[in-house]
Order: sequence, then C-alpha cells, then structure tokens
Amino acid sequence: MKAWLTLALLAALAGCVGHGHQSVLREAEKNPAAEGGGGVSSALALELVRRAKVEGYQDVPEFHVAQRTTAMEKFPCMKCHTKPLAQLQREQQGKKAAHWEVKLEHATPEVMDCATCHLEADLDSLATLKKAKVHMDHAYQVCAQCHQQEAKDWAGGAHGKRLGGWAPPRVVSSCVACHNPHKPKLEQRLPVMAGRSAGR
Amino acid sequence: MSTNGQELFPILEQKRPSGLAQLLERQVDRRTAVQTAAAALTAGLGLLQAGCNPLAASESREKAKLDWETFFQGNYRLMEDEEKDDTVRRLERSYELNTGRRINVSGQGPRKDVLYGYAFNVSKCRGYMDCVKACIAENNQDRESDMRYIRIHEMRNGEMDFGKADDGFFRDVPAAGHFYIGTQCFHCQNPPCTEVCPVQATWMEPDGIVVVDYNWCIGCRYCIAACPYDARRFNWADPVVPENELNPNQHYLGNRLRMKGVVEKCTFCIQRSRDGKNPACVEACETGARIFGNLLDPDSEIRWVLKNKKVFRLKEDLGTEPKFWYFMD
Repeated sequence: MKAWLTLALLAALAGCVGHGHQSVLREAEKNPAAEGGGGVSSALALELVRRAKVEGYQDVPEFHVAQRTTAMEKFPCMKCHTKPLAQLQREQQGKKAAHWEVKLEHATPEVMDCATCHLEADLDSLATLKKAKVHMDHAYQVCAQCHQQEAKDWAGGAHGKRLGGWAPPRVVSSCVACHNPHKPKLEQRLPVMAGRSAGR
Repeated sequence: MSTNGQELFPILEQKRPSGLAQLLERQVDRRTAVQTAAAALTAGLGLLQAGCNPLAASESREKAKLDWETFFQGNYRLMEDEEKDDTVRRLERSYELNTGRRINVSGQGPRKDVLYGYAFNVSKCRGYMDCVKACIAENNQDRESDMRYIRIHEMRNGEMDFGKADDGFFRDVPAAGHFYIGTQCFHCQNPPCTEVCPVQATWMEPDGIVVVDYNWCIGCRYCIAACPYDARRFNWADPVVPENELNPNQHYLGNRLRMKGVVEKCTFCIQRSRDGKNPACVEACETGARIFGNLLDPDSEIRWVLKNKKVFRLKEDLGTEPKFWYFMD
C-alpha cells in the first residue's frame, strides 16, 4: 500500500515537471537563425563610419571599432612634433607647455603619467606597458591592459555603444569615444527631463 | 383583410392628391411663375457650379470614401497583404488630405529568423532620461497627458522595491547612494495581455513584438489590468502631438497617430527595428546600458549577454517569459 502511494506521488511529480514550459531562451538556442540579420543589414547606416577590425579577441565573432584618428583634432602629432621630445621639452622650459590643458586625472601620479600610454619614441602612436607600439585606432588595447573585465564585456557586447543598428555588421565605439582617457571619471548632471511619478 | 383595414384605418381610403400633384395643379399667376423660375435658375446654377469645381468635389468625395472604407476596416492581423497595403496607403492619403502634409506609413512585416530580445544593464544606467525623451519623440506620444512608455525608477542602494522607488526624480544624477532601473513593455513570449483581449486587437507577432491594432481596439482596458508590469497606456482623450514634433516615419502597428479610447504601448520601435535599426531608447542611451538584438542569432550581443552575465527578469515566477533581461557588470 505504502509503495503504491509513493509510486503514485512520484508519477504526479514527474507529470508536473514534464509539463513545465520551455523558456524562451532555451527555445531560441534550439532554433538558430541561418542569417543573423533576417535579411536586413546595418551596412547602409554605417556607410560613413570609418572603421578598423578589432584584433585580439578570438573567442567572439569578428567585429569592428570606429576609427579614432578621424575624430582627433590634433592628429597626426607629427604636425607639431617635428623634433625629438627631449629637445622640445628643453626649448619650452619656463614657457607655457603645449598640452597645458591636459591635466592627467587617471589613477594616481605614482601609477600613471603621459608615457604610460603615449610612446615617446613615436608620438603618433600609443604604447603598451612594455613599450610596444599601438595604433591610435586600437587604443582599446592600451585600456584593456588594466580594465580587463570592461574590455571583455566590450568585446562581447555588454559594455559600450554599438553604431548603426542591431543587424550585422557589428561596429562599436572605441573606449575613448565616451571615456576621456585623461579624466575618465563621469560627472553628475541633471537628467534631460524630469521623471514621472507612478499613479499619475 | 381589406375590410378590417378600412374599418381600423379609414384615413387610408381617403383619396387625396399627392404633394407633387398638388404643386403641379396649383393655380399661379404669371408674376409668381416668373419669380419662382428665376429663383430656381439661380439655385440651380449655384449647385451646378459647386458640382463642377473638380478639386473640391473630388477631394471631399475621396475623403468620404476613405472614411467609409476605414469604418468597415477589418482586424489588421487577419488581412491579406493587399488589404494591409491598402490600409496603410489609406492612412497616408487621409493625413495628406486633412493636413496637406505627407507622412510615410510602413506595413513592414516580421523578418524571417528574427526574435527580438532586450537587456538592461542596471550598473550602467545613470538616470539621464535620454531614453524617455527619445521614446516620446520617436513614438508620437500624447504630449497633453505626458504619456510615457518607459519609467526610470530611482532606488536606494540595497533596496529593490518598486513601491519605494522614486519615479519623479529631477536632481543631479546619479544621486549618491542610489541606483536606476528602467521598465517598459517586456514583450513577454507568453503575454497575459493578449490572452484577455475580447476582440483580439492585440497579439504577439512572429518576431516576438506585442502589438495593438488601434483601429480594432475597443478600449475596454482588460489588457492593462492583465499586464503585471504596468506596460500599457490608455488614451483618455484625443492625443496631441504638435505638427513640428511629429515623427512622419511611422508603422501601422507602431508609432502612427492614435485616437481617443485606445490602448498603446512600447513596440520595440517596430518602425525602426524591422529595418535593422535599434529602438530609439537604445540609440539615445548615452551609457550603453541598453542592448537590443536577435535572440535567434548566436553571434548577437544580446545572446552574449545572456550567456556570459548573470541575468534576471521581473516577476519571472509568473511564467510570462519576458524577452527583457536585467544584468549587472
């Protein structure tokens, strides 16, 4: 008698579990699209966006980053930096320095200075911590040395801004398009409009 | 029968000349006859002139025809492609006839192999409200009642209680000790709102977007009561959108002009998303807290987020299966 009751109870429980509906994500995983954009593309919206192929993230599908150099006012640096940096610094002693408006507020002076990211030997380029050359368009490689989790999220799509639309191809903003590398802290500001209380 | 009728209604049997006969048999003098003829001639010429003005006559006739066809318009979901096309063209033409300006209404159907999904990064939202502003501008929402599809809730750190959240904040953001979380229609895969509609004026499209046929909606608001997320809005009066703020790029199931007495809601900006664009809120968000894409594309950003982040949904225990996930960095 006891055994029968247990069996009946088990059968009822199994029935409950079996009838639970499938989650939408599990369904989606089982039915992958043949083509991600469903016939639409962001190519037209991205027509004017100059881009560079992102390097160094093998475990995510290929994507591009909007070029940084086209947006920079003072580039190439060699327009002014015609002499070696040491000579320029010597000549400018006592005068207002060229990049007087840049005050580095990124980490502490003990951790970072200009040369942490800029390559002194070639001022058009950035540098890794081991002084390897990095192109300005690939500035994310410099940021990623310390901000590893952010870089991983950015490459996957959980951090940063996508350009164009949701449909492929995927082109994203560079880190420095939103974060000022010399002063990365975001200040408070007023919202663009007031909120609206519930029940109104 | 006839004898009974005669008894009951003797008046029926009285021989009286008809109105026309009376008029024709009337004795008139020459003066009255000339006066009447002159008046009739004037009136007749006036009528003829009005009838011959080709523009005014054909426009008013076309307007009447469009109104007539709209009155007998069926449920959009059940229409053949040709009927859908006619319906959309009718909207464009009616607007042009009434205002002299043109709009572009789309009837773009769902794309094959696409199921839209959305993710919201609670760590990234800073309460700037750019999304709400962009949503109102994009979707032609009623300015008079200040209608909004998106709510941004300001919550105290350590509390996840929508009842205690401040939705009406206006101060420097992000305020110290607070975080921000947005809600809108979650486009449930198992939507309770569409189940309760007595006239099937609201349904889920094959690409997962929950839409309303505003022309078919009877305004009973059952769907508003059924939605566990406060995602639907009702037009208590004729919506007001200033002409210079109107978004002329519209979709029949999306941001076209609504009328008094119908329910509306977020459509993931159907007029944008079905053309490969991001919804206005996603595009406007400065912080990148909003992520949108195709759930059926294993290479999409949304799928990466769902696979690599710890995500949650609101009131998941209800089994509504929202296609809108929250996560934190």
